[in-house]
Amino acid sequence: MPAIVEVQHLSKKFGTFTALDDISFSVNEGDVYGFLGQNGAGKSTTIRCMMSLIKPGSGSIRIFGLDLATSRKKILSQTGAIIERPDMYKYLSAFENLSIFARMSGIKPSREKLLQMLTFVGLRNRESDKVKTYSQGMKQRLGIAISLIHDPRLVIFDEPANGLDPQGISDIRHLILRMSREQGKTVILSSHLLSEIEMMANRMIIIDKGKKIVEGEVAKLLDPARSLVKLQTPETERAHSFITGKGIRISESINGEYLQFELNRNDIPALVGGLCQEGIPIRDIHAMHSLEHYFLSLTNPAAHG
Amino acid sequence: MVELLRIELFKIWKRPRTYIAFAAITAIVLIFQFAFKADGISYMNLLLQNVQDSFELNKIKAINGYFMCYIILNTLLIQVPILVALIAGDAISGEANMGTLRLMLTKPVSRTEIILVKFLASFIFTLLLLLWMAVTALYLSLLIFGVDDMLIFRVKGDESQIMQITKDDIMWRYYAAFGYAAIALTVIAALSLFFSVFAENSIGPIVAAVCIVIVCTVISNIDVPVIEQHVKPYLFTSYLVGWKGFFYIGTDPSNIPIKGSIENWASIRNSLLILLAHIVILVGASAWFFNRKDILS
Repeated sequence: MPAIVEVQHLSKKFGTFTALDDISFSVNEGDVYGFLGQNGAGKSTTIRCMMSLIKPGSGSIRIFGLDLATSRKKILSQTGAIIERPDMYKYLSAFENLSIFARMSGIKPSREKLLQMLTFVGLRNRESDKVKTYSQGMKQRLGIAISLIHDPRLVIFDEPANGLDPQGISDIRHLILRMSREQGKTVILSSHLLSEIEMMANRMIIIDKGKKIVEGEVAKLLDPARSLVKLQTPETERAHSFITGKGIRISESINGEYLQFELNRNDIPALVGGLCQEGIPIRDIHAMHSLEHYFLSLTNPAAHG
Repeated sequence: MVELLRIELFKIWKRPRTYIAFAAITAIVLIFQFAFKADGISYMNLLLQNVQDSFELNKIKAINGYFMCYIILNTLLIQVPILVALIAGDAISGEANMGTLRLMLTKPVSRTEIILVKFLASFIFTLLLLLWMAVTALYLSLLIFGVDDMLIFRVKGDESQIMQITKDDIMWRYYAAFGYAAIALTVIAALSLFFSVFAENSIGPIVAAVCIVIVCTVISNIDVPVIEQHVKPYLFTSYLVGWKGFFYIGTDPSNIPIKGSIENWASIRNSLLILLAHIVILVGASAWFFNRKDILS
């Protein structure tokens, strides 16, 4: 698939604070591209640069093969986005909001088309209600409708699950997956939750303190072979010699109670079986992706350092 | 751009706050009309106390629709800038406050287009506000108080003057005065829009614009030569009341009023050009700063 977004050496400073430091990445046509980083990592700043809300300090952004600096209108006419909260005109109805933003996108959709879109996001029977009566989840769904009404090739969602209850998060996930699968949209999705990116994205980037940490295919970055196992046992010495005897390298021993090592997820049941056979008690065993561990160490260094 | 303007006007007319301005004008005009209908003679006695002995005057005939409109405009055109600032000061900052500015700017419209459309919408709002003033202050007054010649009281230098304009020579002056007032008030709209670009809530730009109007108006009224010569010509507020010039009739060499004439057209024309220059500079500066602004709201 050809690259639909190419960001090269993007940097941005606010005063002396460096928000983005030489970030480069590319998004292919049809990707659901995850943008992962803790709060304040620079995800929103990157997305705002891509939507020309913020002028980059240096670097270039090419979308659909066009330079954003010179072809902003052309690019935005084929792009839809929700940046952080989906704020609309609260004194207008969902239908009026959708109609206004559709016309701003350069199209004049029929009433049927607008209602069809509101049906797609599950707001069909509330289209005449003022947005001020809407829940956060309903506003988020209306935001998705606004970002899709002009049938864009690229859709960007910045933290779409923020402020939503579990049901709302699940609804938004389904909507994003549907637009990717049923409508073939290229989606860029930012989140501070790895699980969210893992569930939806096929490619991803992790950024921290404005710098790119890693970029690649989610399946490869979250390879089961690279699971990090944390075992809690009262008999760490026996467990240590049993595990090292299997050729597994213990990466860390914590407080004389925990052992930490890398292991293929598929080999965990056999290891647990062996430990039981040896009569080594297991209080707890927890496996996570090594990338997840790395990401958690970024977000909570004290607990995952 | 036409579509954008339609959207902008739709948004303005859907907001309840828009109607506050129209309600305020209606209330003030009705209170004036009621007060003059009930006890207009006392006002005329007060106004004419220094000249009562000089000539005979039918005070009841003097309080007619044209005179009422002039009195109302004298008071109201000082307050209307606040009502204009209420809408124009909210133009960009209100969108930033609601969070809709970032959604708006992710659409394929240029920032200059947005500024121009916001300005045009404020201008149309100002025109409609003046139209409503014309309906209530002029036509309703004519209906209530009737039609007759109009007296204008004017202080010129050290002397007070009373001028009479015949009833068949008045209406065009009102149309011209309303046109002039529209340009003058549009300067307030452009000033409020300019402040609106920098703020993320509406209060700041509205208060800033109103404060500037008040401060400059106060300075414009200081009759000290150094202010008169070196400060007043540069203050836009010095030209806001230029509409009154349309009611000052030109005279022939023997001081006889010439029907259909204006005393000092050149002064009115220069004032209009200065006001227009303010509008162009303020709207241009708004677009320049808005195009360079990072949207962080």
